[in-house]
Amino acid sequence: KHSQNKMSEIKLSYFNARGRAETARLLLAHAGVRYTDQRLASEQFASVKPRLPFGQLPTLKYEGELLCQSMSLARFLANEYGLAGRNSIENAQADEIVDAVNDMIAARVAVMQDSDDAKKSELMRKLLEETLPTGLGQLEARLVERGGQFFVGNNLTWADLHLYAFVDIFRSNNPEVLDGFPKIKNLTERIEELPNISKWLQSRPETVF
Amino acid sequence: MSGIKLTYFNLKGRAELARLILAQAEVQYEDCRIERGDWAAMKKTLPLGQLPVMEVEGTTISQSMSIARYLARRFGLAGKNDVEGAEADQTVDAINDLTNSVVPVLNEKDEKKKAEMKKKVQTETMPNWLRMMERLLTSKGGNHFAGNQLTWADIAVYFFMETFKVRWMEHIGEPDLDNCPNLNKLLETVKNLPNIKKWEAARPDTPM
Repeated sequence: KHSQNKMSEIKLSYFNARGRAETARLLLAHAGVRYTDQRLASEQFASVKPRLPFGQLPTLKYEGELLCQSMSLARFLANEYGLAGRNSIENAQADEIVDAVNDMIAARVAVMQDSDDAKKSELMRKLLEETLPTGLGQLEARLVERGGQFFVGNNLTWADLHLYAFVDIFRSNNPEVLDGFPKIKNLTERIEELPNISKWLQSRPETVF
Repeated sequence: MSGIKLTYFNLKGRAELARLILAQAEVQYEDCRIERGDWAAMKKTLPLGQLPVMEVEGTTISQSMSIARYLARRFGLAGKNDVEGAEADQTVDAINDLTNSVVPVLNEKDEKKKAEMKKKVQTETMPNWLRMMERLLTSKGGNHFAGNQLTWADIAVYFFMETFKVRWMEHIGEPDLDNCPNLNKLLETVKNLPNIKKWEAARPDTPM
């Protein structure tokens, strides 16, 4: 839909982290779009927070519109750059995979946020031994059912990139997370080899999460 | 017939937003409600082991929000273009953020901690969220959350408020909408849509 974009017209704002912005960054990288990758320090965030529609980052300034909510803005970018599937069903199939990944992310966030240390280690165990394997198993089955190459329509969509972003963060602490899920593992390796993605992965700032 | 089959428990829960969208759009569909006893066997057959699922065009879609969004788009309740679609999406995401932060409160086992958490929802979380949503709605013209027309975002906010009131009434009383005139007006508008009223009168009566 869009071939020419002045860099100033697209600005993604987040912290200096992958977190909830990396899917959007992967989308923009893959699409070869020039944009401003703004990374705010905590003090900068504190000063803009009251003016943000939801008091949160990331936000996407796109041709004069301010879009919020990480998944909504990622979906928007996917739609703009042809990475959301080719029809309504594929759009919904991509959404479904993204939602399933987000269920796992939410489970992980819940564990990380629990302040009770005794409870936390039990929750972490449950996450690593039950919740994630179950979720990844279901995604592996979906991937196999679709031919094993991509989650939707036998073509790259933002569903694949979002899964990649999740794995990318999770495996820093748990490198073995994809053991037992060969098709997903293969998909993440192929994503890393896509020229624009590979270039982005090499050039992006290194962050803890 | 649309060829759409929606399967869930005999509850409103995570299927009701889809049902409200279908009702508003006057779509004929199969509203399949399974018995608790049939759940264990069905669960094994489901792609993501969860309900609701929607069968359409020869395939099965899981995840309540993906289902709702598909229906909204297909039946003209997702705005006129991608930006309006994203504005509707961000509103729904904001509801889910709030839901995720308040649901654990009622599940908290430590009574003292639970009481503190409930107080925080009552005095901070909910009022802040309502203020934020009123501000967002006002910034979009005051009538609707996206595209200055009815979208699934408006229906989602309505359904959330109805559910929140029912579930939280005994704990923190009714949310205070005195400072949210536009939001209040929108909730009344959705409540009084003929197709929504018709559905709410006709749907099975369920505890949640």
